[in-house]
Amino acid sequence: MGTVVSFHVEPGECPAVDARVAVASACARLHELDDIFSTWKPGSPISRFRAGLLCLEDAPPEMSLVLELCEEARALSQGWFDPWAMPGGFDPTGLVKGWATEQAVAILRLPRVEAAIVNGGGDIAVLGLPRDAHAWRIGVRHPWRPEALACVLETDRAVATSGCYERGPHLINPRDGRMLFRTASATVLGSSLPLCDALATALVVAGDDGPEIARSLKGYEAYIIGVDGKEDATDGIVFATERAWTTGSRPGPVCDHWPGARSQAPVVSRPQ
Amino acid sequence: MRRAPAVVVASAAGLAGIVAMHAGSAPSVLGGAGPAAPASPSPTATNPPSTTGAATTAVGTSEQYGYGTLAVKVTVRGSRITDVSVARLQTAEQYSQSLAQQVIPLLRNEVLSAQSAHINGISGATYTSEAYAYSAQSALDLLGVK
Amino acid sequence: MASLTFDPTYTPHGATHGRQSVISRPGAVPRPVIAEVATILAGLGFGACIGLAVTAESWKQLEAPGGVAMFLGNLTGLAGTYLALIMVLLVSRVPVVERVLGQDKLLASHRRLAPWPISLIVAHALLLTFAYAEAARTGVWHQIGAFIRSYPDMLTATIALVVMVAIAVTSVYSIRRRLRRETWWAVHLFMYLALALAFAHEIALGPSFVGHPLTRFVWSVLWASTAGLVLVYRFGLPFFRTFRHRLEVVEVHPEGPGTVSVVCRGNHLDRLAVAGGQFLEWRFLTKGMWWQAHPFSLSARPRPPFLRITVKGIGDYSSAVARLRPGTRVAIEGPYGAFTTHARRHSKVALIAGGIGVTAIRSLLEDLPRNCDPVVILRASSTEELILGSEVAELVRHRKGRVHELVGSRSEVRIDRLSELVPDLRNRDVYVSGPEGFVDQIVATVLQLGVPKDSVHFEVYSL
Repeated sequence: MGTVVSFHVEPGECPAVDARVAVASACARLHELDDIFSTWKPGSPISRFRAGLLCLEDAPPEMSLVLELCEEARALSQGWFDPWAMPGGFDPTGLVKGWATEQAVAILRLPRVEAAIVNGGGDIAVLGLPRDAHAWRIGVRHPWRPEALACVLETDRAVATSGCYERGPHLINPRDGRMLFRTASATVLGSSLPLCDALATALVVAGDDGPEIARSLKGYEAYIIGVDGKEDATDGIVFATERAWTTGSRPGPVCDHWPGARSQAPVVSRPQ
Repeated sequence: MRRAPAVVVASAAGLAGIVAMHAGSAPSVLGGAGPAAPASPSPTATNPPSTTGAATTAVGTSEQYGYGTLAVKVTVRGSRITDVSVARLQTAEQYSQSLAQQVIPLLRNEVLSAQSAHINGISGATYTSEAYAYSAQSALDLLGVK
Repeated sequence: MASLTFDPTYTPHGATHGRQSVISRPGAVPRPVIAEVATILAGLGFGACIGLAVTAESWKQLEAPGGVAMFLGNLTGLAGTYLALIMVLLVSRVPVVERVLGQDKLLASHRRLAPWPISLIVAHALLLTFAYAEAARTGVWHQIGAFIRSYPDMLTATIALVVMVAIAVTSVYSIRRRLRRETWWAVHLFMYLALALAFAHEIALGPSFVGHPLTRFVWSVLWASTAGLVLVYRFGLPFFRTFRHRLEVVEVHPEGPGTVSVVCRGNHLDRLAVAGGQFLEWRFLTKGMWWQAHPFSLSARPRPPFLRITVKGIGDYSSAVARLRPGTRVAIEGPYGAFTTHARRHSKVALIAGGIGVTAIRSLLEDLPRNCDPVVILRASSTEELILGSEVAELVRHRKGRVHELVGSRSEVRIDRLSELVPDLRNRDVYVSGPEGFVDQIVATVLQLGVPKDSVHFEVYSL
């Protein structure tokens, strides 16, 4: 899928070698999922499914899981997240990224590491809590200053962010098929990373309706940045303040790895 | 037509004036640099260090993707990658996006730098494209890692 | 009513002769340095626009898809719009500049410059459409739709472009001559609207303006000032003069075959500063003529409360002038023209008039001092066509000069005759006035005879 995934593991009492093995197998699992869900590989199951050459019964079981999640996400987002409304056919890529990252974290649970955080292209799945802190500190990328952060959030759950600032208006409003500009970035926190991912996408697409939808979601918090710089956050969002930063040294990551996108040139699907 | 030389000279003067004024205030815009060479690549350390070693950074080549070009910056401590971010981004769409904001708005905790914020990770909408991976790989090649 | 004569022995500064005892006001002295300064400023501005375009880009942006087209699109937009601004200023009739350069020269420059801004602006639209389409990997037509729908002020900018192209098309010679002059003129005036419509998108989208408040401010001031100048000098001042002087036709009398003099009466004509040789745009407010303004030189200095023009009947309009009824009101613009005594570099002059061109020469003579030793050459096809000949002779005699009447076919006026008639041509300021072909020929001859360009002044009578 062409995403960079990074791992940050605090082994705790778990032996370092076990942690490393777990990360390696998590990476392997990510490659497997990439083979299934990469829309840039014409022979992948998802590509064939989109082209109508593969039916659900013959597809790998992961596909059905993802499809169910997509339906759940669509309902939860009141239709604003709709992978069936994408030009070119059903495209669950937005949700798959978060789901795959969550799968990777699940693998890390096995050797009982104390804490881990996996960042799959901006989608963050967490395990446990960092040493010396009561929450993970996650920076949200600034929509129009590439090197800066918009804010720092404190959370113990998954974080996903979506925005239209780097790929142009690739977000299509499913209601009228047009492209939107009104929301620059939306960040969603919750227990299920794929749903956070889908909701974040939905909130960006929903534009002015975003804050209202965010407030109606139970169990999810959202932070939205408009193109004019207006920020909106639900009540459950906790912003980190300068003075509360911990000064302990960051534990070194065990290893970093990402799946290379050794596929053909990306097919940029655009509306007509 | 003897006015023509005067006009040409005046035009040249106007052009020179603007360029000089611009160069004085924002030296980095005209003529962007290519990939920065790493300060001191150290590919030797293999054990995961518990204390931070010397961090080196490299910026990969600018790769074209659907909407423009981007370059990925990779920060490495020893052979561990500690940060990956987009260093440079040029898109027509982003440009047009920024047009909607005539004055760049200020956000809360304006312009935090990822370096100084002591964070565990950055969440942001990112690039799912080959260009991103290629640029990141080239940055790593520069650093001599893997 | 007895025919009003414009006594040639009347001198503008002082002595009263005959019935007229009110002094008329001389034209203001032009300051050539203003034109020099204006030219330099125009050049500086143009260079600055190029500079703005160049400094708005970085090398990396050029490498992006559509990057080069985007840069060129911005460059052509800035340059083309700036030149459009110059175009407006050229015809804004600001007195300090007009006095030096002359309305006819300004119009000629305006016409010569015209292809550039329109081509650059069309190129700007095409290049940017292509550039954005490339960057977004979308089709050109879709991009045009996206521009109009999603970008601020692009709808008005597109309308402005369409209007500009329409104006350009109607100005193409082969099309223009098929149109009635009034139709062409009415279409042309829409250029003001087009420029006003386009302004918003420049400020909202131009990379040199977004996020650069100083540049935005300067650009806005530039356009606001230009609009102000146009309102004041192109529209305001003519309105003011028309209502102040309230000219009306009092007499129309023949001067020669197909030629009439029209005498108008007005208020406060002693306050109208006119130099001999200048012209005004005349709009006779009567049926069939009120929508057209035509330039006619005064054929004598004002004799407050009277003004005179002398018009040759070629074409419908000029023939209609002969039928003007006394009491017809007149709206005026001007006076304009640099064909005056102030343009002189020498004390001695040579005045060469062809046909109706004698009118400007006749009024110019009144302004020339007694020591100018005028040599006047009047050219006509027949003696009857030598209008105002007696007046010219009287004025020249008063200044101890000579008049040569060259009557006959075109071949009579040749290079050797000119140097015969005026051996010291090189030491004189040469004023040439008449139909276009005549003026071109004489000016070329005079230049060939070694008269420096700065000493040659001409006024062309086009139909």
